[in-house]
Amino acid sequence: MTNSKLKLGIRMGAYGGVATIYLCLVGIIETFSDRDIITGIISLGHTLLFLTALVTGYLNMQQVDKLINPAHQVVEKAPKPKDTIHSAVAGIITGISLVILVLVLDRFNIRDMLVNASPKLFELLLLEKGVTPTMVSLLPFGQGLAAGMLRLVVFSTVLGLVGGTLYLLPPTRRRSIMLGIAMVVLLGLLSDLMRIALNKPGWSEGFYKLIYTGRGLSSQGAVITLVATAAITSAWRYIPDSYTRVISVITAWLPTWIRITLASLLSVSLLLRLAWFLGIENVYPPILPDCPGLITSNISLTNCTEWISQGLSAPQESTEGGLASSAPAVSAAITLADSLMLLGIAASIFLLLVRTVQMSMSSDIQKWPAPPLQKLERAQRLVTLYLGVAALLFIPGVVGVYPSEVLVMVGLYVVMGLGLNIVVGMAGLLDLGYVAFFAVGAYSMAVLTTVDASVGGAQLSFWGALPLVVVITGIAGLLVGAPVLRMRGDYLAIVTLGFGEIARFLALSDWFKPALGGAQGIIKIPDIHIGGVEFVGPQKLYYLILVSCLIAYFITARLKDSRVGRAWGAMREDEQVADVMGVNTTAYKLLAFAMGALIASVSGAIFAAKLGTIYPHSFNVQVSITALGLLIVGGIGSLPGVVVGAFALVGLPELLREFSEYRMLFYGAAMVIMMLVRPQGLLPSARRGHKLQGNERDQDDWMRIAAESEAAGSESSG
Amino acid sequence: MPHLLESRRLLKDFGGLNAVDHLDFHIDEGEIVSLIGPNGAGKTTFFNLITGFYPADDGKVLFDGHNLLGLSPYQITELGIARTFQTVRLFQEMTILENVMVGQHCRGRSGVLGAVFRPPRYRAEEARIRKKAEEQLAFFGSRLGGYRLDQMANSLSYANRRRLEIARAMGTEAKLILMDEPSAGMNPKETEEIASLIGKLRDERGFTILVIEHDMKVVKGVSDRVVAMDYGHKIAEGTYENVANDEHVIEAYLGRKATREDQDAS
Ligand SMILES: Nc1ncnc2c1ncn2[C@@H]1O[C@H](COP(=O)(O)OP(=O)(O)OP(=O)(O)O)[C@@H](O)[C@H]1O
Ligand SMILES: [Mg+2]
Repeated sequence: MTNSKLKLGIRMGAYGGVATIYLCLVGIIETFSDRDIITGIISLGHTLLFLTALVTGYLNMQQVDKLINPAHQVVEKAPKPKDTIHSAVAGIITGISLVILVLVLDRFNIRDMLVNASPKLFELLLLEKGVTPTMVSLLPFGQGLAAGMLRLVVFSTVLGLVGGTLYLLPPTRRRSIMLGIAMVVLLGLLSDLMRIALNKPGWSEGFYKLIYTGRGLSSQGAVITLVATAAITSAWRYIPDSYTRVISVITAWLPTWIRITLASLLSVSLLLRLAWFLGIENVYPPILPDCPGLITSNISLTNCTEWISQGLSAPQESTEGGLASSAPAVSAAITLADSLMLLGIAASIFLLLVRTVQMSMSSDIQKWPAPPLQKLERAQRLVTLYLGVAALLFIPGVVGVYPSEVLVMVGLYVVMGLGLNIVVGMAGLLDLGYVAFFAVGAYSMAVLTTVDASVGGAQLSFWGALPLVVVITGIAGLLVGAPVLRMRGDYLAIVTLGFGEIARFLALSDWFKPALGGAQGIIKIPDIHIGGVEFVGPQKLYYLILVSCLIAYFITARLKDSRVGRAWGAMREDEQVADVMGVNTTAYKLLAFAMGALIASVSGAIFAAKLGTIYPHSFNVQVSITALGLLIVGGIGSLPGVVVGAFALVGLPELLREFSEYRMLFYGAAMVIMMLVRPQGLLPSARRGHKLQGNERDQDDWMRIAAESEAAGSESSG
Repeated sequence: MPHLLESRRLLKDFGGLNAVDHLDFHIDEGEIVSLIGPNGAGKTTFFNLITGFYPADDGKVLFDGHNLLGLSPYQITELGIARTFQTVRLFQEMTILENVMVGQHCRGRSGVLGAVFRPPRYRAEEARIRKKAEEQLAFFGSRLGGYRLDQMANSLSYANRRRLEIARAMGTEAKLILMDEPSAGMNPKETEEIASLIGKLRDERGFTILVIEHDMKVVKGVSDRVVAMDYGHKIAEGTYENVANDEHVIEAYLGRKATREDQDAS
């Protein structure tokens, strides 16, 4: 047993070694070492290097667990603490693999073949750069090659050990620690975004300064993140409950008129801000009114009246980031609404506190409010909805221009993903050429609206063209659908892949050049506007995309749970049987293609108007792959999964542009890991999850029953 | 009175092998007819021809005054024929209720616009579909009803999967249900239940039933009439006793091996 465990450790260590050497030679470690996770302490490159050793140790322990608990064993044996020694072995082997790499780098020049085997990588591996000197001085082996290699092995061993120990912790604690580490890495990665979003005058600056410094987290920020995440995850299971309780207390104790007033004040404030942003100024009003009193938190009545009168007496000098002076009435109204709202909230909290104290003094449990379940649920839904809407409306103003741009890209892919989800997730038709519909939408919008006289000529407005675009793309969907009606699975995938490419080549071709502009594409596509509001810039486009996402989501959600959705589902499960059960599969296939196409066309149309210029090269196969990939990551068939998948596959890479070289590598790795670890996706639709849990047991039952009855059958007939 | 379903000289030629060979067959409204015959006799192929699964090479199938040949399977279902499969073919990743609601598909009209905007007409139709589906499932008592409605079809036991297939066929509001070996893979008790179920389907629900069955106890118990097939031909027809004692039938079942080999050799 020990022997096989040792072998296991060596094998896992070798895997870990291969993985880290791969990461090194691909160049990831080096590129990533320019990015700090914790400023001055550890770079992203080393984080990755160390995480590999940690994960190796962890996975090794998991394998040990599997080894001592073979399948179907009734009593589970837990791996013992002393088994961590094998994780340490795995760590040592990983470390030794790296040492071999270091030696090779030292002795031979392999740069001709492997361009990333650079001197810098060498320095990084010897831990001379990219990590804090303190960390190195923990192991004072001195300078030079031998010392560096020794350090490498010791670090890997310790990390392997830590990984193994992590596995032995009780699941809840393990989860909170792992999430804590993940959160530190994530926040470190997002430091640029956070700087843009938070590091500006106002309440957010203090928060930013607390956690970040330079281009990464500060050391105190890392500790805070770790502790806070761990605390929140451990408390997580209580949160929904207390949320319900808070709402039940609010609904029971706050008089209705106060609740309604507060909600309306919030709405007024929000709407005024929106109107302000979209119609009056390009600057987004600050989140909280610019009242100095709030930040220093000496709230007093005189202060409040002062803010109000300040707000009312606007125009005032236009401070940067503050309410500008061009629309005094609106700015005053916003300030007034905000101030009243804050006052109201403060008063209600006070009121609630008083009631709470009274209640706990009387120690009569019965008196705690317990509104009827139905009412409570409704209230909860309302509050959640309201907060959700408020957050969605606020986001672009809070995060700033670049992150809004990222959100716009994510939104475009969410719309596309929802459309593709109809074709692939609901109807089960594997379409790899989905970009074709996105392209048709974009191009038809471009041709219909461009003010460039050499192409098009209709010169419609965006809204005038949109219905036509949708119809044209829907017809394109039928045209693609018709020839592939008899195809299934792989064949369908290949043929649609071809269609996607054909669409691009048609746009590129000389033949269509007069209409579509060839390789130069179509320019001068006008901006979108509603009334006087011009939707230029990502912060404003965001709202447009948000609305399209919501509409697409609504449509797909309703389709999913309907006669049409069931027919698609039946077709996905078994096309022949669906036909025999009365579903006209030909018609429903075409319908699926058309619906998918017309949803994608909206995404394409906005894309065209957003850029103002489109080229065939924007519509390559990668768009299709990404759209399909986000379905897989999110969980095929699941609508929230589309949103999560889009954030993971479009949002994250956009935020980490400097690593775009490795984007495809990460996609690939994400897909493989996804398929191995969580084939049902991050947010599986209920049914997939079910299948993967219950199926095997069913299969066993099935076999057993079939065998039994066969035996019984042969008895009776014999 | 014309027959409910009638096939005339129906032919299916699988590249030289006549799986169904100029078969004349009929079933009347309210009848329960069993189709028997050794393995490979062409029974399932006959079902596949009736339901439009395969195109026939010659002959005619008349149902309720319509010629079925040339129609698509979904059109045939709409006319009122439903079937179950020899190997269970459910919509695995749909719920039990949804499986039966798909059966109701051909009795509905609403499309994309209805689904998105949900006008009263859509809601009424959806409610009706749901009610009908629940009615069919209620026929099987607690086995498929109650809390199970929202479980995935693949969570069911084998026998219940077979029951769900029957419920789904009932859900199409067919006049005629074709069952392909409903008791295959069931234990004796379950088989008995299936037999009484077939009777109830006709007596309480008014379905006409054509059933392929290997279990002679079931055949004996349920059939008004038995038709025996071999090599795509009808070799006997009549009451259970007549057919069971028919010499062709006995020969077909006992002498199968020898003759098959003969045929293969030739
Ligand atoms: N799709 C097909 N292509 C070629 N031959 C087929 C096809 N389907 C059935 N056959 C052949 O037709 C003959 C009749 O098959 P069929 O499945 O109808 O028999 P069956 O009476 O249902 O038998 P069983 O009792 O085993 O179900 C068999 O010889 C079979 O091999
Ligand atoms: Mg058969």
